[in-house]
Amino acid sequence: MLSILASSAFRRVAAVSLAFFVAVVLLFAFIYWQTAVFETRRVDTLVEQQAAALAQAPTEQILWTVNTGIAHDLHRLMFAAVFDPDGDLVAGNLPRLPTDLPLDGLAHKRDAASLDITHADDAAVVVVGRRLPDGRVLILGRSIDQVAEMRAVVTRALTLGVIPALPLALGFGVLLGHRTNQRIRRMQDVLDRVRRGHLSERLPTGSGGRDFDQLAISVNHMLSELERLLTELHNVGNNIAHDLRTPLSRVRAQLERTRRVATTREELELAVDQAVGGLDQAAEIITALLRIAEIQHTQRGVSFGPVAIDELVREVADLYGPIAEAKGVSARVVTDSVPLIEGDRGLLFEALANLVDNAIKFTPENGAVEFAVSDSGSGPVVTISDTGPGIAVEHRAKVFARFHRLDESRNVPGHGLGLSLVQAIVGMHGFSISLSDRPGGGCVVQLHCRAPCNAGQAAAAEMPIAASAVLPMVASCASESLDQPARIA
Amino acid sequence: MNVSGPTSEGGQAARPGRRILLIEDDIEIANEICSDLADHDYDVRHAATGPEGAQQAEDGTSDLLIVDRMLPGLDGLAIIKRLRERNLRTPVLVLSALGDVNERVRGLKAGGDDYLTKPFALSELQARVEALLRRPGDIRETELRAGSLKLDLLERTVQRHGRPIELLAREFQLLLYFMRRPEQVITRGMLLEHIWNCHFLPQSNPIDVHIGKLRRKLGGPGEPPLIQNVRGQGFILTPDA
Repeated sequence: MLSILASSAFRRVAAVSLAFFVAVVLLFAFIYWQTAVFETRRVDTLVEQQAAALAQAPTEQILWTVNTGIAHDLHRLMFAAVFDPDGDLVAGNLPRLPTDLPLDGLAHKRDAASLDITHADDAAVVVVGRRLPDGRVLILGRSIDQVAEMRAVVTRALTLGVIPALPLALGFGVLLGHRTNQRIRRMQDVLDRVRRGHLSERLPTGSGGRDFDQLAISVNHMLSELERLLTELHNVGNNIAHDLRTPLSRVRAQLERTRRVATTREELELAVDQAVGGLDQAAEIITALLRIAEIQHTQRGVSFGPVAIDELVREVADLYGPIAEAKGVSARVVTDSVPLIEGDRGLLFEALANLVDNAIKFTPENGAVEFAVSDSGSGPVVTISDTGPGIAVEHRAKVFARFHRLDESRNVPGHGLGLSLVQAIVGMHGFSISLSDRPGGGCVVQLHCRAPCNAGQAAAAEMPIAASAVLPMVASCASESLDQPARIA
Repeated sequence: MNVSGPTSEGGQAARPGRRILLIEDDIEIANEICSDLADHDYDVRHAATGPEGAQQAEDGTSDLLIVDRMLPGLDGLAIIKRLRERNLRTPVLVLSALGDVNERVRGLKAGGDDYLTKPFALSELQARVEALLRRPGDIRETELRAGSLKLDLLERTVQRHGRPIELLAREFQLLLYFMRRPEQVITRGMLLEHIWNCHFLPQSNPIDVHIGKLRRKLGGPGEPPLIQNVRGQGFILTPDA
């Protein structure tokens, strides 16, 4: 019960009820006050006018009117009397002339007791005194009993109508508080289970108010994301352990065996070299993972500057060209003139190098790779295509996951982190990457860069356009074979 | 970590007696580095804290400083800045466990001359130390010679025994780098950094393929190769007689 009283729903209902009650009481008070003022003023005017009119009449008519008026006043609301100049009663129902009443013809409020009226049990009367032309005094009065009655009516209505509403509202508040508490408790139970590791639990939705549902939906979204990340983390953790264990156990076995059987310095040196190679491989995995994490946490833009992506692609192609050549794979670079982009040159180089490395690695002998840069209108697009086995549609989303290696690539060296690194770099730049099939077999990777849009960068972006205007040949015959010797000798 | 033997295979001994100050707080790494440098006949001093290192660095008796980025007391970059403010031009090699994208830039901006990210191979450190101590002499030289090899920077031509050799622009750049550092071990990392402006080690090994191509172009029938592999370390240009 205490928890219900403390619940926000109950407290809200209680506050609203209280405010409603206060407002109604104030309203009633105002209505009563306004009506009372009106009624009093009406009676005042009535009595004043009667007294003024009667004072004009001949003496006999005054006495007759006073007597008949009293006689006809069944409700005993009226008082009327005529006193002679000495203060003795001539006619009427007042026992004596009120001593403190000014004879000015205006209405004055008096207690009934002060006038020695015994037949009226109410408290207040309105009295007018007026001296007649013959020296006698006319007193007219009227009870304002109705005002008091009205107050009683108003109080009764308030008691019967509004006061019972208050416990009703409080009861409603308790009910609402109870329901809210139940919902919150259900949510707490679910969240407790989540906390204990049942990450697949979800908050109930659709059984209550929209605000609760929205909150539950948000929390559920968060839980789903958390579950996904934890699963990924778990898988990555397993993969790290697995991928590290392989070279480490190999190193261990080699060292153990060498210690047992090696007899010459050469044998020892060979084993040590192999061990160092194995440790390097393990360190490489760790370094790659750390780099991915670092890139993901590097604030975007800190190391950014204008980058000519077409030039960068040519440099990467230049670095990898001989590898393709040695493997019997032909490499071709086709670059259009494209605007400068904003980015981290070093990281973009690394991303492109990874993509180019992959393309060459998966292309069989006598195959071909092509690196192209074109302008899509919204920014430069780097297209890297190869004549390798390609990536099946169902695997495309997965190849960017850490340690994911397609079965087909088990015999190709690598640690399965290259594309994750690419993804991290691309994500940091706000660029996007897409995979598709190459007509005739093979894979096409496209890196969609975003052209910078603010003014400072726009000025820099004009440069390549100016350059292509001066050197139209650069743009039109940018397609060149990597093997073509530059005229330097 | 590649630990090379006390005497590098193929690498010639460094000039003895050059003084190196190592400022590094990790005692084990410091010991490894000190013994390796001592094996190469360097005179090594070690400081384990920032203030101690700064004090020793500022006495101006070191030929080279190896400074860890994160040090107790005084940050490595602060030491370098203080040194440069006092107009001490001692070359500095910055070591760092921070592979942060912007770290290298920060290190070089502070006045460092080269930057190595941990973990590094001792042979890589050795090569960089040697490179820093033997800065290319006169870079205004327009004609370089290494034995039978002649490189003309103005005409951009290469000859061996008077025979013209046709090179691609990148190959020319590569050869120039070697010829300015004869008989000095050049690592793959150094070539990637200085020729391709690339600060990571690619998975495939493009450098070896480039060197192989260059070596084939330089070597006529029966001629000894000028650029040799130094196992586990890199390459070296040895002028023929």
